[in-house]
Amino acid sequence: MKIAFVCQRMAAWLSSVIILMACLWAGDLLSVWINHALPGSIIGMLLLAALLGSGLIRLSWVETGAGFIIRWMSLLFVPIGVGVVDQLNLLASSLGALLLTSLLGTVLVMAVSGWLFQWLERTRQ
Amino acid sequence: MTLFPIVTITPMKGLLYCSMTVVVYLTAWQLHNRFKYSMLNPLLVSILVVVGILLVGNIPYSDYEQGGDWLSNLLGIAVVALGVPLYQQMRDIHRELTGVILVVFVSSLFALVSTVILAVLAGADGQVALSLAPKSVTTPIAVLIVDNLNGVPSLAAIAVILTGLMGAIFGLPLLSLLKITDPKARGIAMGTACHALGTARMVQSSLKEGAYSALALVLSASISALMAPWLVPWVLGWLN
Repeated sequence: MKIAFVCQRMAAWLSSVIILMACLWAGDLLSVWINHALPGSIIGMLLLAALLGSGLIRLSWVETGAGFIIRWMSLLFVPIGVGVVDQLNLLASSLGALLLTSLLGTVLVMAVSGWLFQWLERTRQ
Repeated sequence: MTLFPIVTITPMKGLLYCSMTVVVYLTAWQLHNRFKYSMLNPLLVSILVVVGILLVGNIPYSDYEQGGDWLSNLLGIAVVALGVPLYQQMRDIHRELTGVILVVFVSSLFALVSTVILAVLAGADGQVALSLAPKSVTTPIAVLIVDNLNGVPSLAAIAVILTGLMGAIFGLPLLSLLKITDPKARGIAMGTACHALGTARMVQSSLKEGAYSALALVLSASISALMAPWLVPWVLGWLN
């Protein structure tokens, strides 16, 4: 009983990892083919959604691994954030422009896109 | 003699710095859950603590990078995994796809134009301003765009990361402050403005918001790649 459960979990993990890696691999191949107009990971994301939508892949085959890595996705950005420290000279050279665009600029873009969509939703109802 | 230490020490260092990052993040995550205080954002705290450890231990970044790359390399798989929430919301999204595309299209153009204007206002020269322009787009695309415009790709990468951190750390309270309450609108705003970093934060709070964020991330990357090559030089020419 318990062994069956463990085997089932392991199979769920294994199939998730294989499917996610296969989608990334296929995405990378397609990305080269379209001259890197979109990165392989994004093509892989669309491919996975399409495969799930078409029923070729079942949700239960990928949701274990996908749910796990999505839950911990922020962790993967820690080294990238630390990497900014390695480029302090470049950062300092355009500090004002970088801060103004990433702080105020981001607020503006969020406001425009969020308000626009809410306004569109409201007018449609 | 020379080969042996490289083979053994490099993976050890990688393993050490990789596990250090994981431990720091898990601790920051626990702290965040304990105190529920938004400034204790696990990502921000982890970055600061790791930078502190590197400074105190006098560890060069190139050493840390060996372990850091282990984690960064998993990002591709994490982005692919976003296909799952995207699929789960497909029926909803399908019904509103035109609206979503329209909003992301307008917002992406606005992001490019407003960034160039703000950069020039802050005193940046033309080359810096165009390097910052695709700051709301995911890194590989932003670097490509800036490369084509003869800008500075590494500056673009920094702008993208700072923007993403801004979204991941302050994004959720900011959306509430701006009275953006509709889950779909929140997802779209985050994905358009703060690409994968913002999406990573969003998907932790709600899968529905995360799905719309992932969709906006895809659309804004494609739209910006198409429009930036002529729009950014045009805005710069108009400002001069």
